[in-house]
Amino acid sequence: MPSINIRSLLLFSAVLRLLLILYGEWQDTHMEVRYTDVDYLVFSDAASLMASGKSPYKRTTYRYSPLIAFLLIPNSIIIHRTWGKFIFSASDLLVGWFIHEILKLRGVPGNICTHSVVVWLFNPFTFTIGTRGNCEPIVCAMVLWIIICLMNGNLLQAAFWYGLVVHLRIYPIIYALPIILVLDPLHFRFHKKPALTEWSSCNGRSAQNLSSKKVTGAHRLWVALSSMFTVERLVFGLISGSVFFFCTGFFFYLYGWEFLNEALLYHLTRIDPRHNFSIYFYHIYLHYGHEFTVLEKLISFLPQFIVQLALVFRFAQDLPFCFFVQTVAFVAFNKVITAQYFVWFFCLLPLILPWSNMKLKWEALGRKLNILGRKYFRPDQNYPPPPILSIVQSIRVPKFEKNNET
Amino acid sequence: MEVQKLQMQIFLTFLAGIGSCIHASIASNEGGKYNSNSDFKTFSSYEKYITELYFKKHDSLLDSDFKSFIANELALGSCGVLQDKLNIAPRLSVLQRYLIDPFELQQLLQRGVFTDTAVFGDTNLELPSIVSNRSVVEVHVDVGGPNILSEDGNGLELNIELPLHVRYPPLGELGFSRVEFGEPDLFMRCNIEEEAHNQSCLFVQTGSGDESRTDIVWEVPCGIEEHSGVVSVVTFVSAAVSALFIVLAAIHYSDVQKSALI
Repeated sequence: MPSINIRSLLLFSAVLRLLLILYGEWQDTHMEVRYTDVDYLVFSDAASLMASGKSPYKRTTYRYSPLIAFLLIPNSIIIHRTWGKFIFSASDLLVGWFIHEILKLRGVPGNICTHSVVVWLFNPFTFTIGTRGNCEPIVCAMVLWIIICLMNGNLLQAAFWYGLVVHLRIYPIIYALPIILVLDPLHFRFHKKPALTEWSSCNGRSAQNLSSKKVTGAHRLWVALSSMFTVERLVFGLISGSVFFFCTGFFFYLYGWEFLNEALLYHLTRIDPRHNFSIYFYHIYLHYGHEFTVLEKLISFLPQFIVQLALVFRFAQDLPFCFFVQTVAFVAFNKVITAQYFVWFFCLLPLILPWSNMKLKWEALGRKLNILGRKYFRPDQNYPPPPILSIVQSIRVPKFEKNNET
Repeated sequence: MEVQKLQMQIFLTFLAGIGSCIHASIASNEGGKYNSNSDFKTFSSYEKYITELYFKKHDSLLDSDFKSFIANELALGSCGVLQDKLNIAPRLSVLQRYLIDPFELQQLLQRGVFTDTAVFGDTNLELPSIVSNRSVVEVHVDVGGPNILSEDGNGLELNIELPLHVRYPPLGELGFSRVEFGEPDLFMRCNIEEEAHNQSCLFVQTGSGDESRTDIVWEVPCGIEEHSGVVSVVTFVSAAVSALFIVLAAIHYSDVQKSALI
């Protein structure tokens, strides 16, 4: 099976997104149901208000950072109303590129890298997100870039982008603790590349090459707690915190309490029984007439909190995997779940696919097809291999080949 | 069962090339801006929405306030001959199950279905009705030129479809809440184009003239209050059990890893 070049893949994905944006314009004009997301209209209106010197929060339901509206100012002034969609789709492509880079850094073979990238670039859910005008790809790209910076030992950049992404979207605050834990002095030093989880064909996942001696979980926790205030952690905390508070303070100076209420506080207290996949939605709707007691609030918060702590302390050393399971759990236990929240962990899923059980299933399928293939042709008759055997050859994994040699 | 009512206004405009429209005391408002120091009693041709005027003085929609506003604060100038010639009876078409939504109204506006449209009052679609205030939809439709002043007495029939949005209604006992659609307030504005200048007059159509028309009712599903206890218990138990599984899986994962090393 010919290997697919990542650049060709990105180019093809870019063309697909361009066609979708153009199709979206046609559908918006000719059909009753719009292709464009309602949020995009909100962003565009907020951008127009910003361009004319007004607060973007004059636009009802604009509940994002003013930076998003700022990015879309060319929608109404300079370029075209689809400018924002191109920005979001470009971020979407960046996510694909970053997934490839992260897997390469971990030594994942090229073809598996590419297959993992395909899961993002050609997922119908994700390629419609950007082309419909949703800004989540920008946040996803920033989260992945933070992982790349940490994997390259680029602490200052990671801290800067982390502060910015938490300003844009509050949910990445859940990554603060695993990042702090991963910055432990055992394997993260300033301007030095940390030891990374390497992809191994033998057992699918090798142990972390952390140090020369075996490090148990309890010892790791003790080291983490006792050396909490290392230079790296302090620098990360200071820079990310400064960036976050600078952005927040600057926009508070410009737009006042309206900015704080709509862009930040609203998301912390949001209880929306309307378009909500949360397990809490019906409970919230049935109790909307009266205030929730402190006990009820605590009970609904505890599962999420406990799960986050358990996942962080168990998986922090494998940062992409930890981010992924944390995000899934955070979304699952949140009081509000809208469809766009799924993108938050979709962008992290390709990072763990090379280590998933999918490989074992391919191996089982490969064995079956190989056996079936051998039943249906005789080597002495020199038949060309049937297509089914070609499929077997193309999906063989290294372990399967090793087993056949013996 | 709680009944909710939808407030709607239809604002018709038409142009007449000639006419003997009696000019009411409509003060012109230079530059199209509303002068906040002047009396609220005028509605000039430069004003876009009647409801906007109402909400400049009131925070929420109350039927009594709105009726008082129409009666006392709008300069409803008689359009004389034109008013006599017109025979417009508002009829509500059979309810189409759309969603009322400012964004959808915008799309209809862009497609030219209406001349103008706007939603006033509470437009937060995420909140259930129990914590929402009322809202008003104002729709402007251009009914055409002087031809409607024909003497044949056929009148004018308009079919207007609006995308209607259903909020989560208050809890009930039977699982359904009734939404009643009353008659819309119908305003007519006549724009007279004359050689020297343009004028407009405004009047309100009172009475539908259709005695047989009944209110349209929409039954909307709602939550059942007596289920709240069971739902709360099931929700919290599900969340707790799910959390427990995840924590146990995380702990078990570390145990498996240890044994693999051995």
